[in-house]
Amino acid sequence: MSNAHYEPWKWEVPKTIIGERGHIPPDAHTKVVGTAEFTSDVVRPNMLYVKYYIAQRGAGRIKKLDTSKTEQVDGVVKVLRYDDKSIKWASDTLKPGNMTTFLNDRVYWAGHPVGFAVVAVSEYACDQAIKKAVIEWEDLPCEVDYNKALASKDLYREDINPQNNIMDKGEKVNNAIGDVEEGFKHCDHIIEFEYEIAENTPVSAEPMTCVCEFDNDDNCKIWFHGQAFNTIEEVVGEFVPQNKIDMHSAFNGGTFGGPISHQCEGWTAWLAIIAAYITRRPCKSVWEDCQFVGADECMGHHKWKVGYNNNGKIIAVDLDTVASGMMIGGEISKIKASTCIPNLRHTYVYPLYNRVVPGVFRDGAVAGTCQNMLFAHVAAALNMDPTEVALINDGGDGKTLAELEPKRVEEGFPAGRDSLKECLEKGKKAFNWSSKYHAAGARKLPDGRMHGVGFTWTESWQNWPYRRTRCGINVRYDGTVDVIYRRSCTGPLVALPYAQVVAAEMGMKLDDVIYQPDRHNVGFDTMSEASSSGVATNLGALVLAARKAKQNLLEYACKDAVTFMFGMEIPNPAPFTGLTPDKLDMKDSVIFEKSNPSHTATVKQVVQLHAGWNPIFQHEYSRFFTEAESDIPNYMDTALGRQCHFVEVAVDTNTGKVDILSACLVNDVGTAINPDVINGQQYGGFSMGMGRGNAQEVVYDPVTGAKLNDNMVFYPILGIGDVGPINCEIVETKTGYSPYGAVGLGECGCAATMGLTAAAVYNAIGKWVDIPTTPNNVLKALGKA
Amino acid sequence: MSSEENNKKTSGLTRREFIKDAGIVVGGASVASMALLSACKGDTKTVTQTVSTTVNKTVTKTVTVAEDGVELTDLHVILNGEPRVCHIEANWTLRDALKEGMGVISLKDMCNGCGACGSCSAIVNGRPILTCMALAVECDGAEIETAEHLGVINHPLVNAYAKNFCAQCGYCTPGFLITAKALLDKKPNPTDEDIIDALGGNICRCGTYPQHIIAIKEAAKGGK
Repeated sequence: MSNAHYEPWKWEVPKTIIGERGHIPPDAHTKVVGTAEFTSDVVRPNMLYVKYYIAQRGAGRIKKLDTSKTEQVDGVVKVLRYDDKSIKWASDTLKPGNMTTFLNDRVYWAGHPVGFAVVAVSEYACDQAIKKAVIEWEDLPCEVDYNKALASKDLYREDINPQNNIMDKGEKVNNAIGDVEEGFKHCDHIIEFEYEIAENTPVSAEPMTCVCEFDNDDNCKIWFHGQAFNTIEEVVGEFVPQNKIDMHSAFNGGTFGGPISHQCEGWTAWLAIIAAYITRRPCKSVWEDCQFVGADECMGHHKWKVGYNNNGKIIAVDLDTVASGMMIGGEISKIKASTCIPNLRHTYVYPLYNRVVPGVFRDGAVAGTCQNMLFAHVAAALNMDPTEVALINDGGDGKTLAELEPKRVEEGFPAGRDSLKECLEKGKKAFNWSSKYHAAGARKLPDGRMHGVGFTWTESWQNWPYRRTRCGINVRYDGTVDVIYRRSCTGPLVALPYAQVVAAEMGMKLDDVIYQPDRHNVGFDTMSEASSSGVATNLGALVLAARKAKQNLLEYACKDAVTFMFGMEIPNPAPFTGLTPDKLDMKDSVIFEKSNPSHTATVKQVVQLHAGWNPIFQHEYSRFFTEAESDIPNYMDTALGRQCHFVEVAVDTNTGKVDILSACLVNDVGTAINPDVINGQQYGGFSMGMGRGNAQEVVYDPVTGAKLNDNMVFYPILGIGDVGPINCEIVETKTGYSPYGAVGLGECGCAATMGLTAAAVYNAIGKWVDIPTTPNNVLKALGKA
Repeated sequence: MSSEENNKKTSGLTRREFIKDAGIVVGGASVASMALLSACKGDTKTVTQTVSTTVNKTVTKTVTVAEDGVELTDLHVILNGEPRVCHIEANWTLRDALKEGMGVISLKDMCNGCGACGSCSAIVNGRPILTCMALAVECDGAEIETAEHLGVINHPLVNAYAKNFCAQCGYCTPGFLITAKALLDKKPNPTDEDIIDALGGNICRCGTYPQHIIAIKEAAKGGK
């Protein structure tokens, strides 16, 4: 249910603190010097370690498992076997979220936790013990190529579909629009093209780990590394009431979200919980290789047919994909949401084979990449500047900007703002596009490498406050403020911008507001304060709670107090007795009378007046805790915020190596809460996007299905020398659906830039290259490999 | 069908039975565990051996050999200006020793100890090294500096890193910080190329790379 009166984009932006640069994140020094405690740093007295056996093959069934030598290794406390009925019950039944089968006898993909796990006094003992197990395997058909799987009659994933090799097949009706066949009849040109995107994997910074302990009264403490807290509580809830669970959220080392990451978190947490419950000792589960378990939704084959006119206007798009996994919204969702292309169709088939089922961990990457490739191909075919092709097709749901404008203005959004145009103006100037863009293959650098530039654009999609969330604000006895939340930080620095919002809305000094970490059992009623939907989802509750807290303070500032001391009632007049809250305001943690600004009282004075003379008796203290819940707007239509990105590359046609020379990233964030943090998401997202677009590719052995590069030596993550100088620009059109018209930024840049090097490499060498644009793929395109 | 019955149908066991069954396992596991721990701490003999180290060339050390042949020895280091000692086994890396034995949590592990991420960097005898790639026994007598120490001495890099948003999730940042300190010790006024070269072995998954260049140059100027 949505609320017709909840229109947060109309809320006035406070005049101070919001939008300011130069504030230092409250946890920055602790993180920098390494004293911030991450889950992997947690050590409990008498703690044990527990690790899964991880299958190295892609398929098979355990015929016989001999763990007798495993059990004899020094320090081993317990071996948890799949054929133990307790363990089988627990792995079958207590699955956090949507976890697929694990700790079973059947291997479905290399990296699958199967067979057994070892509990021991050290990680080393676990590793040694796991090596001692002897497994007799039944070989089963194994296939890691989705085209071959599609053509085969063997069953590869009976856990998902015991009937055939298809997970899903059909037409994405929800993303289709118009009549594609009719559209092809009314366009000047039709082109067809196809490309492949290889599998990439998340590689979170901190390896998966979880610590769990039960005390003798069955109270449970958990230190959880991940986002999906609630699903983990459900598992423990099978053993103890949920109100006996003390869920700690230590710092999280750059993890990712999405279904596959949640599965990895779930498997890891499950193991710590079960081991701790069985041994009655603190247990820490560790799964280093889990960083390489996930497969992104982007992988697959994309085949296009596109009809367009001489001026660059696209009339009809028909996309057919194979093996792109579990997408949210599908490949053409961004094209539908951010263009006026009137006819779109998407057909697809997802075959099943012996890889982990791909799942999103950077929401929108496949859609952003598809939009990138569609426009790059049309611009190239017309030999047109791709920024011009973007502008002529900008819109939403098949409508032009002009057609969308009246309804948007009626709903309270600013009139006449053209996000893409504003982004392009800033970006082209900063990147010096007019001097860098050239016809494909037309510019050679002095060192012999070919020069190319790439451009991409799409909507700024994280602007949907699609969940209700809650937030608590506590004003302390000394007048300082806690914003209460549960930390499941995935990287973005939300503590600072969220404190800025509360300080600005309340009229507090920023230093007096702390976005309080590790108030672990309360907080935003969402999966994470820093997820895909972080700002868009949580800002509403944050603003409402801050406004409520301020109103509460102003009311108490006008209300006389009575202090009970030694059995006597002692009246204490309020600093603004006789006035009403609407006559007051707050600035820099001081309450003042609007018509007489020299009449002031500090927040501390008001709190202490009503909390009593002795802080030991804090029964009045609860008066200064407020809570608020956000809502979901009634009106949410096409997103009009845009992002556009530029990259410059040099391609060595002898080696196929693509070097990134420079980049410019432009995001319309609606309203900037903290530009420093926004820039962090921009250059950070670009680094990830370039890694996935230009370097990262999981390689499998075609016979055994073994993953050949599941480590950071052979799976390249870009370093400081790989990304080049990056120019970050911010546009603020106030066209988002969140408070102040703000738009969440998390993962937008990463997802939108993945196909950018493919466009730039085409501009350099005049050949289209599969993604990622590795030397091998470039040489293949050049006919040299 | 109740959920309990449904569970039983799929696995042949109910939650209550699991708890009961697990309770029995608990007893067994606890006994087994205690027995194994006793075995680990069983009879030992002390011998004096001559050990070669890369740091102090040849030294005479006391090595404790357990019944099972596991050699335990003491690692003596100057950690962040203070003499420290801990028991180590011969196969421990320096990271193991500093983290497990001395509680240094700034040494992170992103690459599963294969020397590919730089998160476990420390300065050992003036050189930045990957502590996951160094054997602890080879570092006996070494002077070691970790990121924590830069906070204690309020090194200009610390504030420069904090104010320039070099930490997002913060997991890799101590490794960058200590590598940057080693660079400034060697080159007080590094160029962009010097910085890129020095930090080439450090991986940041949040992609904070551009900020390190700004912060290090700012720290080189005394934090301005």
